[in-house]
Amino acid sequence: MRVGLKLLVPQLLQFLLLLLVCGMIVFNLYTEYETLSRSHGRMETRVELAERLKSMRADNVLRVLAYANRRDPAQLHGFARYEEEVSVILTEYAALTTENEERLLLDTVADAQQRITESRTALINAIDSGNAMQQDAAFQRWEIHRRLLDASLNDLAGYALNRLRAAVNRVDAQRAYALTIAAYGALAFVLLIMLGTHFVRRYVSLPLERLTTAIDGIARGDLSLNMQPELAGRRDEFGNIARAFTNMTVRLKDIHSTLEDRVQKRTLQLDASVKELEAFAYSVSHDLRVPLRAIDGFSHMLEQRYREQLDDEARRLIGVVRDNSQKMGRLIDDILAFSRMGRQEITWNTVDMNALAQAAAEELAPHDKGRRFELQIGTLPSAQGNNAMLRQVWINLISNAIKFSSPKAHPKIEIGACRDDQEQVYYVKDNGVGFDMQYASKLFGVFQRLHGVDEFEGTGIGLAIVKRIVSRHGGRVWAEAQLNEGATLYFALPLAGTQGAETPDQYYLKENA
Amino acid sequence: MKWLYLLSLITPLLSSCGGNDTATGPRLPLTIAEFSQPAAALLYVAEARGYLSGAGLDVTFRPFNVGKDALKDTLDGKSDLAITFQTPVVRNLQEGIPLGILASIMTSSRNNALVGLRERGIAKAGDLRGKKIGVTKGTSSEFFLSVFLATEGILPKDVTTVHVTPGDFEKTLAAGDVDALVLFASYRTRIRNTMGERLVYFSSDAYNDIVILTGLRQIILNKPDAIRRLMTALSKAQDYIENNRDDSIAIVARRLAGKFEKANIDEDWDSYRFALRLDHILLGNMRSESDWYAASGLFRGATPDFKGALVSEPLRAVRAASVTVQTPRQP
Repeated sequence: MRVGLKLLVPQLLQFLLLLLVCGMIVFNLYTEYETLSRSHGRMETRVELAERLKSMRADNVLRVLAYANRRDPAQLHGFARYEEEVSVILTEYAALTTENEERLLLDTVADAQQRITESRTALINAIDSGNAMQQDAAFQRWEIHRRLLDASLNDLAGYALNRLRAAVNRVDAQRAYALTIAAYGALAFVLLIMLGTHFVRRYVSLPLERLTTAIDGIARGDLSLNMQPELAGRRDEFGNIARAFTNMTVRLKDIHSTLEDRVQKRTLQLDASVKELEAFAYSVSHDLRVPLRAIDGFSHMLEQRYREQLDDEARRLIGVVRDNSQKMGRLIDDILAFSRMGRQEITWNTVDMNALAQAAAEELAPHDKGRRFELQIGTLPSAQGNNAMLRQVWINLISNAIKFSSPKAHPKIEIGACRDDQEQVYYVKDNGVGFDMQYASKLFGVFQRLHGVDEFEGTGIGLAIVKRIVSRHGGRVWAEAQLNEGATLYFALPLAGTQGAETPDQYYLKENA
Repeated sequence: MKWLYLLSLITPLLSSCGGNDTATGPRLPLTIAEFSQPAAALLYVAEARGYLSGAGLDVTFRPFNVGKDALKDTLDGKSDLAITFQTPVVRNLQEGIPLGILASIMTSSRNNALVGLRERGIAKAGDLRGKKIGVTKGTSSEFFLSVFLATEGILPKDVTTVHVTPGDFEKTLAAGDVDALVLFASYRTRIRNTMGERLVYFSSDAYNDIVILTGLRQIILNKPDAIRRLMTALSKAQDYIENNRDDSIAIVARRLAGKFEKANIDEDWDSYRFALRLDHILLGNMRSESDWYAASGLFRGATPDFKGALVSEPLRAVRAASVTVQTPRQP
């Protein structure tokens, strides 16, 4: 998990906490809203009950007046029913409120109801008695109580209505408050996310990216990257790291600079030594040729002039001397050629590898005295390189194939090419004696032989020269073989041409590292 | 600047949280004329509990024996507001005095009572015919007596009424200068203690006494802040009385020490309903009383606009539900 992501986790937890708190606030508000709504329902019921009492009271007044006018005894039942219903409603109402003030109003109504019941009874009695003075007094009393009941009922209904309106307002206010809280909560949430992201980006992610860039640069060897002043000026852990890296870079620059100087000096010394050694070897080889020619020449003269005086054994010994001196001469020639291939500057041209291989095969044809060989040359793409050097490569590889396949009854040599994305591969394949692949790494070494000199003559330098030439061209060599089944020797040249090619100095440095 | 912008967003949210009841601004003076009876308990509790001072008011009380005199004090410009029973308010409104009614602060059906001397042959209400009855004229007692007589079937011409001030209640009754007397509840217990079995008691369930907080309308409208603070303090006093009966009685007893015994206050306390209201009972009472004055020939003008006298906004601001009368919104 990346550091930025790790830092984001606690931040997200904080945001979740904020979300939780906002959620709880909204939940509480919602709960309160629900409570208010239930309270609102009870208030509506109270208003309805108060209005019902008012309506019933109006009916009862008409009932009293009807009795006073007509003395209708049927009305008496209505009084009892009315008073019973009022009592039930008042009880129901009282159960719906816990407010002191409303209970006082309810008491006032109950009190007024009690009074008007009494005064109504007295009025009925006075009416029944026929006493006009009693009727007047009772009527006045009933009228006063009627007004009192009217007033108390109006007050109760008014109070209930006021409470209902207030409750509605509170519900509206609560809803608006909840919306406000939710809106501010959402705003705060978004702002916190933005701020958090900004802070993490500014103080953690960006410094980390800069540090990573700087460290990558150092890893690539670019010591010029400087983290100051953006990071090194900071007073936090990133500042400490940046300063430490800056110090490290400065020290690395010093060390690098010292190392380069030392390497350059050593390289010059090594170059000089290698050249001296090459020159020495060349000189020695060159100088050895003169006495060798003298030995061969004088041995030949001795053989020619004193043939008749020499017995067979003497002639055989002279032949041995001449044979070995000639071998030594070839060896010296090969060593000189090998040395030359390392020292020679490459003149680059487009080389027709088909023509080159064909010419090399024809040049080597005399070695196939019985014309036994079956030679196949496929299409060989051109290459960038030195014509003479690559010609030597073909000659050495084809002669190598002829040599090691000659014991076969039907020797066969196949020359071909293939390519991949980066290099052009050429090969020479034979069905000769092959070799054990465990010795493949020695095949291209100087003086390395996988077969005895009695079996196959040679100096053991030919494939080393091939490897040197191909390496000078930036390519590579390798072989695949199976004992007694034949071998395939490959060399590959880079498609990019001169890219990867080595100067003699580079070659020597690599070879002698 | 970003932080300032954020603060500007958050500040309204923070300021919307919580409230503050503490009065702001300078302290305001207010003079209230009152009648020094337990019926004015809301004022005394508000004073004693510090609600008046806490609301930023410096209240001066001007005490009187009866509400009629307290209201006169206010009309004379010596006080800003008065508390009085409803009768002086009705009479002044009939006279065209531009009163503003802020609230009723107490309602009782037993504040007035009629006592008769047994020795004058008074045993039941009908025995009052032909008797001399003392009453404090121009007060609610006079209206009480008229209601009592009417509901008992006694015509006004069947009795003789004489004016007796509250301070002379006991002396007048003891001397037998009247056969019966209408007196306030707070005096009733004390007279009963001194005159014992000589008295027979009558009450009327057809009558309600209401104590009103009132003043000249213009004065009320000119002092909106002081009035608002006063209503806030009285509202708190109402809550306190509802929940602290004994403490409230003790407060009133201390306030009226020397004039009323605590035991007397306690005895009558439950007949009082201390509540700030502008309701139909108040309007109905005033109209009934006004009608009675008109029927009695004591008033010949048009019935005053009692509803128009109500100044409802101050009460609505503290106890909206207690304004059960529909009144036009006032500035």
